[in-house]
Amino acid sequence: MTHLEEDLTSALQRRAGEAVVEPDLQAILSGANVIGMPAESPLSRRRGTQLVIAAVAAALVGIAGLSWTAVGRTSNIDASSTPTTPVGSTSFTGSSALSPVTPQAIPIDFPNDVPKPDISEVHYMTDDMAPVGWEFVDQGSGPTESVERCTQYASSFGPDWTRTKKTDEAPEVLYAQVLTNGVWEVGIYCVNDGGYLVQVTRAALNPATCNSNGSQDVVVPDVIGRPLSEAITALQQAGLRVIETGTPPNDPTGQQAVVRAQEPPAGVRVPLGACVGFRTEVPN
Amino acid sequence: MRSTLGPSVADEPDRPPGSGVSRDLEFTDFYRAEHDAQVRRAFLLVGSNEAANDVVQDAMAAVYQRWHTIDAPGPYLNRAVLNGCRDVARKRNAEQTLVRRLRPTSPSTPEDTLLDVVARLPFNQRAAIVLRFYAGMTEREIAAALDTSTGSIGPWIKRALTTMSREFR
Repeated sequence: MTHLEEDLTSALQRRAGEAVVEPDLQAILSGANVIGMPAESPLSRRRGTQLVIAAVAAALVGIAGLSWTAVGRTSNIDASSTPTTPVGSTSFTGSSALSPVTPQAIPIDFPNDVPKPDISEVHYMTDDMAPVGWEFVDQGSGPTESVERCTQYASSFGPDWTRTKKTDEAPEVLYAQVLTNGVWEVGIYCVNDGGYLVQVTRAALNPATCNSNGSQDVVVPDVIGRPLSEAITALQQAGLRVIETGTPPNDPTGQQAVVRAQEPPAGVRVPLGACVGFRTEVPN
Repeated sequence: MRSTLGPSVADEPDRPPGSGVSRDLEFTDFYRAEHDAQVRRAFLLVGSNEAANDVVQDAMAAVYQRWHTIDAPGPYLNRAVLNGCRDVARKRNAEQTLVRRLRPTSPSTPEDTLLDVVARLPFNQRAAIVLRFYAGMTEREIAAALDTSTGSIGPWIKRALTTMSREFR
């Protein structure tokens, strides 16, 4: 990056921080913001991978053998606070490695007043709880298949990906829960040779659930140009959560990765616990 | 991979046709994940808070209307916002040129000078610069957002940087 490009990035970040953001979601949901549509959708409709939450949750709960409970815990998926046995769930018995799981047919007692959205995507996260990749769950796939996918993912990210967690620190846990705002969260923790993966719905990553400790504001630090690991540390020290895209933190190539862009920009005040997204690149 | 930057956390999934409640929940997630970043980006392109918020709100409404018929709402939103910004910029260009002629101002800092030059770039060059150096998007992603070929982006960025260098001399 040249000096001019660095100055430009910095200037744009500063100017972007001056924007006054005025969201008005209700106007759209209520139809008050009806406007002419773009002439043509740029993207064709694709069908296929669809999964109904009830089917997934039923299967998950069936395997986990958990008795469903509605809990007030908002999504709080970080390495320090994720319980080895999440609220409203039960850990697997038997081997803590990725051994076959025997499904148990336990019906789910879904609360009637909670809508059951579809799950069409999952996020896989490292033990640092930064997303490293994601894919869709095919219609009809069950938790057994998900566990297999966890295994594949863990393998594909190599030993670095799994090195920090010991098996006994992260036992296999399968859980599902209802958040207080009616958003579903379904997850699987899979142990693979000392590491684990977390599978969550997108709802768990939205800003509303990121702002779980929103009583206090913090200033977003400037992490542009900083190495990936350093950026993560800086944001965590500021009390923020990281949504990283680009290079997985524990990927070997991630050691050279630097932050190319961040959102929100540096200097903006956000609630403690808010999520900060950034993109990384490995310099040539 | 997703984020609130560029093609992001809500881009790629298939959208199952769900109930109205399901649609609203999904869209609410999407809106919260994308809105603020899009407004900041639009602000850099149009230079006005009001216009940036309006453009993004209209684009979001367009996405909501087509939630179950568009495959990747993130890129769709990117394009809708950029098209909106282009329209606003077109109207504002004439006004701003006139204002500059009537009331010339000198930027106070080098950063302001830089941003002033960015604001005067042709829209495509400005958008390429903002998407590259603010949003960190790749040339391919920028090309998709601007509905042009990838080969156009490099020259646009180069030309814009050349203009900026020249102004700084």
